[in-house]
Amino acid sequence: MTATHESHPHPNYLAVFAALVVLTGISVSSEYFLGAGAAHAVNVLVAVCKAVLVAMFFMHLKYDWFKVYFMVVPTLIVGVVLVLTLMPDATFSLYRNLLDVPPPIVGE
Amino acid sequence: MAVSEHALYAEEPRTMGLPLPNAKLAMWLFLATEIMFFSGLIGAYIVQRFGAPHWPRPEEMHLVVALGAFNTFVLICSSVTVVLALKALHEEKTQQAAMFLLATFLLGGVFMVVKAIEYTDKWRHHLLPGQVIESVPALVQEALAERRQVAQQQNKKPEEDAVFVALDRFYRYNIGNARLQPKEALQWYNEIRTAFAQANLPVLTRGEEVAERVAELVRQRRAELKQQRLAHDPLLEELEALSLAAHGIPMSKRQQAVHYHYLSEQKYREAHLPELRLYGNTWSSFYFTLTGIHALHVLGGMVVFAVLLVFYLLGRLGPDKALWVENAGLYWHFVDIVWIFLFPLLYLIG
Repeated sequence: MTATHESHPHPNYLAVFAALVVLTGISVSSEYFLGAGAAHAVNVLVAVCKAVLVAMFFMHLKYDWFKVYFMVVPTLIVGVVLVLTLMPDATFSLYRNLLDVPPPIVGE
Repeated sequence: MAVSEHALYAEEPRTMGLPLPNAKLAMWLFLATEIMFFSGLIGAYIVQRFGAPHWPRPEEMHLVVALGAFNTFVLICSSVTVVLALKALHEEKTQQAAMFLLATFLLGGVFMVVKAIEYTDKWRHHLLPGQVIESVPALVQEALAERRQVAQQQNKKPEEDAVFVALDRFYRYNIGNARLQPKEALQWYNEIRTAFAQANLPVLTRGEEVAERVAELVRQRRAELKQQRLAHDPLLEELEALSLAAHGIPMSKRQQAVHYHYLSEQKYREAHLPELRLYGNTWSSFYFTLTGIHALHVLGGMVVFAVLLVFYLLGRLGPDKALWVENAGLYWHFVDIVWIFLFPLLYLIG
């Protein structure tokens, strides 16, 4: 079945574009106004906002979400869970500092 | 009213499956797999970066935020143009749609050009996986090779270059196990004496007494600094290096790194010696994998737009191809979203 007609109206793309540019500006300049940690948090938040804007309006997910979510939601969940399951092994280690690692005990 | 409503419902075909064209469903399934692909890569980067004992900063690895931000802007513009092309096609303005598609294609090209500029910069600074120097001896060799080249360009002998002599001494006596001859020891001591004239170091005449006297001077200097509540200073650094060399004691790895840092950042700052970039090879692997695979995806998208433009030139682009353009747009927006996450991760958060 091919839909040759638009089944939903087109949103105001230029408004979304302006929002994306403003968000990019906020992200790039965040380190000059905030401390390191806050700037990182702002950058991640801005990235998520931009991705959601692009997905909802440019990819028409605002209108097509209920036809498509069953493919997108599991992959997003698995993507996040993948990182969370690996983080304890890779990051929460006993020795975070190279200098703290005790020297190997060679056989006596 | 009721009759016409009934007629409206009767017109809609009853089909199995989703109220979605097959092509669009397939494209979304493909995008779902791409989400998995990129979340694996980006997840690996997040896990590795926050788990590594050390990670180089973006500036150390020659990442220019301005170029990354410009690329972000370019991709956002290209996303807008592709969706405007779709809108134009729905309104049956085929030529306008083709112009927007061309704009998308060209903006993708601009992205690739900027990427090429960045990659060339990395190549020139040897920031490729396996080529980033993470040990001081190799770093000193690289610095010596650079100074030899500089001397050659200026038609001078390397031995006349103060930087070369200092690095060579550092390599042979502090890193390597060459024996410091009395004559050389005396010369080294006199150079320190003249460089730090205000410290009033004693005059020595015999190279043989350099070893004990300098060890004594090191102790004195450490005591002085402790009085002034300072941890370190250039004179102490120089005296320590000479003292260790004179006694034939090699520097520990940590001290080598500290001394090289002193030479490259303080003493010979204007010589722009190469820096030690710990975990730079890991960084480089991730950088090229992430951005390279993304760039390949951009290239693939550009191929699709090129095909659509060829269709236009053959006069076969029309509202019946709206689904093509929509699917190409979906793919392109996904590529844009990936870059929206890559840019802050690599360039801003680092």
